[in-house]
Amino acid sequence: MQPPPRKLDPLAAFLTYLVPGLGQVMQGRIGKGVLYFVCLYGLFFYGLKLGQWQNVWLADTKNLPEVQVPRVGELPGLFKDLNYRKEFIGQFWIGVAAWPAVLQYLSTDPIPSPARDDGEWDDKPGHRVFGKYMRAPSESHLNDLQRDGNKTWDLGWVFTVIAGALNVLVIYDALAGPMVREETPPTPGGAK
Amino acid sequence: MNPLALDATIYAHLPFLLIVVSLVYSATRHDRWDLILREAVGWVVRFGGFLGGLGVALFVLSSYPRLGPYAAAGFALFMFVYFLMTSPWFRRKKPAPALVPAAPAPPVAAAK
Repeated sequence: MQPPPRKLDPLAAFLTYLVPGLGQVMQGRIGKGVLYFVCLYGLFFYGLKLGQWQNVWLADTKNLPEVQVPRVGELPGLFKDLNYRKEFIGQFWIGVAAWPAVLQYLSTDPIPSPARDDGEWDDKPGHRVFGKYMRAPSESHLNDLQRDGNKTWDLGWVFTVIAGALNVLVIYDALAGPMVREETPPTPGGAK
Repeated sequence: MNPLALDATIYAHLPFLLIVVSLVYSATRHDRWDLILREAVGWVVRFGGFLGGLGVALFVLSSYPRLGPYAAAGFALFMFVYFLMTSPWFRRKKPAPALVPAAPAPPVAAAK
């Protein structure tokens, strides 16, 4: 017999956004919560490590050329920044683990334009708590990473984006339960 | 030298991704552990078969360019059969549940 639909649980969904699996633990589905936590944080931080801890960031692109989109026109502030670093749209959904990138974005200066990029940006002191962790690298540094690496930098950001995208499914699991509602065996005395 | 072998090390990271994606996706579909694990194994086999087949085909094509047309035809045939066999048309249908005879009605008490 198929059970009735679960009641939506926005609090668990929010907790799962913050830390993958936390909402499931709160609901009493501890094993699944631990599975999500280990798998998604494992994937995210493994991807970060593959990218030499420099592939999750959001840059202030005020100094870069404007972006024109057909029918929309010039992209304003945050949209321009997200257009420059589209990967962060997926990485953001891993929750608290991606927040240092947001803090760096809010607290650091705009990155220099490629024409004036003389390496000074990378020598600047970092955030007072996070240092240079998840700070946007300069264009020249990005070029060095991709030219001198063995493609693991790119593979790393793919891992982090997939971790974020998977957490969206996990958030839905916390909100409304699993996609398939399993049938429960009938009780000997019948349903009451 | 085979260009695929130059960056062969990056492929070593893929099984981890494959397992994690399969496990997490399956866990979002079921609550029971036996169903989660069964579906996860299924996804690992499907993903692994597809990516492995693709890898073998690319390896053969880059190592033996003269075999290109034969390898391409063989790969296309393999993928066609593979997807045909895993398509819903060929899946074994569940047998219809057996009809259970209705329980005999309890004896009606004789009217007084």
